[in-house]
Amino acid sequence: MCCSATDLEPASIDTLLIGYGNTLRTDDGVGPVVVDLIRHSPGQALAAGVVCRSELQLTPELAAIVARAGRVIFIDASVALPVGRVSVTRIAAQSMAACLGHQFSPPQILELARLAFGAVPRAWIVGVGVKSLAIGQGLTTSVAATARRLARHLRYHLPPVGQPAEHWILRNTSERQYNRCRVADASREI
Amino acid sequence: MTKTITIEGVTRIEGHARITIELDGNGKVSDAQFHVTQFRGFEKFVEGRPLTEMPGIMARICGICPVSHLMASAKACDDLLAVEIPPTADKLRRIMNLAQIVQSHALSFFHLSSPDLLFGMDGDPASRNIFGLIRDHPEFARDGILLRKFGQDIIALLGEKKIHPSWVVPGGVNSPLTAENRDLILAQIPAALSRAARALDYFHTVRDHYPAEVDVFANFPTLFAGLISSAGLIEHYDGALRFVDEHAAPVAELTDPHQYPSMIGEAVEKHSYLKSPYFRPRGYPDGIYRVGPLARIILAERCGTPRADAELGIFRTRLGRSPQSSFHYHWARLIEILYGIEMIQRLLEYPDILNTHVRSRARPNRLEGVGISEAPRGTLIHHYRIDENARMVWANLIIATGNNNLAMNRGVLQVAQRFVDGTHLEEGMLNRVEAVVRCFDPCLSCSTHALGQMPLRIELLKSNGELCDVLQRD
Repeated sequence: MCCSATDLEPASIDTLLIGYGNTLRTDDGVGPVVVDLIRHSPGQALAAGVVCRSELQLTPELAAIVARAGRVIFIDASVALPVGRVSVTRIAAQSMAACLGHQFSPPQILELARLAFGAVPRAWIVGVGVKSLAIGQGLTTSVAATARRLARHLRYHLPPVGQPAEHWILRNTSERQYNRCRVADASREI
Repeated sequence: MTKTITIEGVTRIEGHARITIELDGNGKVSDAQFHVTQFRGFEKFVEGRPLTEMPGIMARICGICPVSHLMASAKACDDLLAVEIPPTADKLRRIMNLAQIVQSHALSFFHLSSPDLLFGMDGDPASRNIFGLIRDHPEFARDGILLRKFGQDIIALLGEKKIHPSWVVPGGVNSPLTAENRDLILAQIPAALSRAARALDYFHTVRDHYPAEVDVFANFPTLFAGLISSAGLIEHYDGALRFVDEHAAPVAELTDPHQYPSMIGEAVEKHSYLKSPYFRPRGYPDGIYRVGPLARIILAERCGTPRADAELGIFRTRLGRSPQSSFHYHWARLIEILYGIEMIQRLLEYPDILNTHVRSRARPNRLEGVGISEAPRGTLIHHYRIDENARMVWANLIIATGNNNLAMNRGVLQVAQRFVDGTHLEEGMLNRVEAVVRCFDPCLSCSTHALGQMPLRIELLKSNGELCDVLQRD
């Protein structure tokens, strides 16, 4: 089941996909684009217990839903990666005393979930190497192609209706990187 | 020998700002200024855009309170169309506006200001943040997270997304409320009320711990301004714009939004990009006034909902009708959270709330329109002029935070004069200078931004530029 960005998700969440970034800054919006592609893929409904969220930024109230998930996959733009490359990084909860505002990093969201709600799911960041962060809507051509491949890839490995997510273990890939041509192969890992 | 202290990167506020404190030859504070260092320019780059785009564009001013700009912009566009929006659309807009106020106040109180209140102004800065709060006060922090989520979820249910929803349009809203979503929101009300009540209970245990701060946190007589209903109740969406004096006695009331320039002048200071609005009949800077939650509960006779009115009664018994210290913005913010939840429930229970007629359609019928609403931080004014082709030719915005600019500046000076020792800098001293600004919960960025990554550094310099002392927060 795929829900809107509200507190209407099922009580038990197997897999939570959070794509975040600013869709008005071209490739910065790749996370929300990937999640929307997964959410709106034709032909096959997402499994029960799979929840998709598109976010402009990570805000503290996300900790409430993160704490209810079995696994969380954050999808974000990366300027550190070559354009079109995808990296998968296992992350853990992390406190940062310097965080003084309303915007949090994925490890901080996990830490909030741990401290406030007593649960930390397994979590990964899927980074996508981007080309442009200029003002404007839509992804650049190469990043859009990567987004489509990544969406297919992630969607293929989300559990189909009627089967629990535990059958699709997301392995810790510990900073392993996949280049464009290997995204399809990487499906075995996620 | 004069010296200057600069606080570069004021923390736990929305946006980027700097504070400078001038010291005289004896190390005493002689002046202080609050500088807003970012520039936006929305008034210029909307020129040429069709008016139908305005709510969507103006919502992008801010990632924290986009709903506020949606409301004021849509009201200005309603005025240009010369339409009366359907009653159901009026109620739905009010619900979204109140949801915005609840979530924004929750962020301000729980995440940004309560670390000061619960750990103390001199507390260890390494713990004086949201993570320290959760470690030491988990239920309190959890309530804060979930109250903000309550408001955000309502915005998303109505507008399909939490930030920058495009649901409010000229003439009304673009889709009605479904029975399912109404019931989902109503089901969240009892828990939200309980969380707000617990926050108030907690606040009452610490509110008397800060007499020195109450005494000098922008504690001086000013005017207060805000919207008020025809029945004298607190108002966030429509109504008359009232100015009251330091005794809460009305001094002016504006029922025609087009006449706002007769009451509000806008001054510009060289040290800041933030305008300094003032009450025009009293001139600049004597026309200083404050807006926001404290102003709203001072100028209203009552809230109009039972729980909020009961808490307002406690507030007034304890502090009088018109307390002048801006420290009390915190309490006022909690009262408004309670009010917002109660009023959302009341609006959802109206029999016509599911009516599907939610938008009035018309072509532009005027060339000038003004929309006034209450943002979490205070009165917000959007003023547009269009040409015969309905394209924008001019805009003026008076942002809620700007209305408090004069008071924030004077408050920074007052706190600095009390707490800053020009010969030795201490963390608690610096924090109090920032904390007075946080009372107003200024939203300076009006956009998404990366707050919290910035180091904070105070330098104490001699007049020749020699560094006397430095305080660094990484």
